Amino acid sequence: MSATGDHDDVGHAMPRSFWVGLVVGSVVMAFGVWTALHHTRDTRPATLIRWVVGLGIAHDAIVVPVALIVAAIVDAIVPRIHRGTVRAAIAVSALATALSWPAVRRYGTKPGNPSALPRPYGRNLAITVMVVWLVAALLVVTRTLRARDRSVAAD
Amino acid sequence: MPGCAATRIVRHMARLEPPAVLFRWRDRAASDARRSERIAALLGMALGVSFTVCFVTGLYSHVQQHPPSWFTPFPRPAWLYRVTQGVHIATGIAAIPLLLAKLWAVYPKLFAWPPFRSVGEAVERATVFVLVTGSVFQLVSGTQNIYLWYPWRFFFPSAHYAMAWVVIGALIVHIGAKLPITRRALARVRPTTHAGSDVERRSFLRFVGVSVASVTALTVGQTLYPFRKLSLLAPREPGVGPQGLPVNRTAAAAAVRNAAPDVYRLKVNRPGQPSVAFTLEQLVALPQHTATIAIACVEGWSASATWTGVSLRTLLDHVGVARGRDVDVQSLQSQGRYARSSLSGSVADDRDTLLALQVNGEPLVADHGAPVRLIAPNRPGVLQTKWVGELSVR
Repeated sequence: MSATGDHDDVGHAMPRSFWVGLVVGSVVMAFGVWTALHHTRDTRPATLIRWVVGLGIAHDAIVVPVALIVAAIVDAIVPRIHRGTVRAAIAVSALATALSWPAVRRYGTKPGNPSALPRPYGRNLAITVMVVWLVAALLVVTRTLRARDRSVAAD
Repeated sequence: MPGCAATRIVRHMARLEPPAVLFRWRDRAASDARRSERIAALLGMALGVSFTVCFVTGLYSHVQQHPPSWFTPFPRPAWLYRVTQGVHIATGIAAIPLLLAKLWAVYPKLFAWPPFRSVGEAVERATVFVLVTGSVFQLVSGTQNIYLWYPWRFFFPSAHYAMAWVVIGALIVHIGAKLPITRRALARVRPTTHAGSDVERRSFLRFVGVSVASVTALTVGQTLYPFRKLSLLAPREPGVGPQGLPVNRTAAAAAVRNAAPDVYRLKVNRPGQPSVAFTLEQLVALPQHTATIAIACVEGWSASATWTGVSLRTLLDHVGVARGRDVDVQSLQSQGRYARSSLSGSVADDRDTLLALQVNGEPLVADHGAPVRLIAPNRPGVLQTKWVGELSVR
């Protein structure tokens, strides 16, 4: 079966360190589960499991495929020397947006407490994204000019 | 007979093989230099270090709030909790791009087929599932917590704490499983794959580094004062709030009762002796002490201030309580989980542990715990009980 190919980085037999780690790690994991099950009023295990599994699946089924599609689009339309810069600008913009989204939407605003989430996060996110793309644009321009200089010098 | 059962399951899965196009994509993606073993190992090590830092600092925060029998909270160094909790949050935020990059690098392995070929592999993949889902949960829920957003029914600290053990346990299993590969990947000095891959690898690591630096710079100003203007997306700003200090729970949200200066009484309960009550004037008449102490919140922000009030030790001496006694502090608030906190004997006896009446030279405002609040060195903000109404010596 070709599909098994060169992906057997672990192989059939697990290294001895795995079994040692499994014994130690299982005890530590069991303590976590025990803690969750001994404070069910606070941990709400059924809700907790839904969040844990749901977020993991959302990452694997949505975040990575979207990232792969965006990367493929960048590869298709951006010249090779600028791809890294554009990818980084997209990634940092996306990270800043995802990180601050609860603040931008003010989900956690506390009535009567202006010191909680004190800033204009929508405006600040816009500034952040603009600065990121300004830096990216500067890098693209400098690289383009340098590449042109080199080709002129070669002539 | 787990071996036989596993063999049967593997055979069954071989018949259910997914379309070949998926494998073609997977094999092409896996040969990408940016997904090499070396990259996965380097990112794995960075994540291992950051998760360990988060776990240790988180554990310290937990035992401060729920001291087990083997741990007695201590007051010195005064800055310790501020540093450990600031590091906890900053490291957690820095781990977000690291985790995303690491999962991107190993994503093709998700489509390994058959999913496992031995009982050992099945167990290993199951723990990887726990590790990945648990890690994503810890970073997402931690971030939502610092932005004060709680779209779930569980109590965040309890869930985050229990899951921390699960994730660290799964990480230990994962390190054991990958130890030989990591050693091999890091020992290899020169890459053996196609030309140009070294450049791609370095550029990918630079890209991850830029992402880590960006998210850190955008948020760390909530505790590192020099960064406060640069950290555009920080959930707090150290100097912003009434009397130049942020507030977590306002007097209105805590539904404080009997805090007006004319009706206020501080009751002190002593074992085996009658209780004593102090009016505000009596507290003001006691020797006053001034100390600079930071409020260090579990959400990672911190802000330093100069507090003036009665040293708790002075008050305890005044009512004849011997040194080394633990003290419970009860708030006048009628809402919220943190209406009560405890001081170990060594914290209660520290000269900078104050029943503060003033901050930065002004009488406390209601949102900072007027008329009297507790402020003590090396202590989580949630335990700096506001609107103190009662002290019980144990």
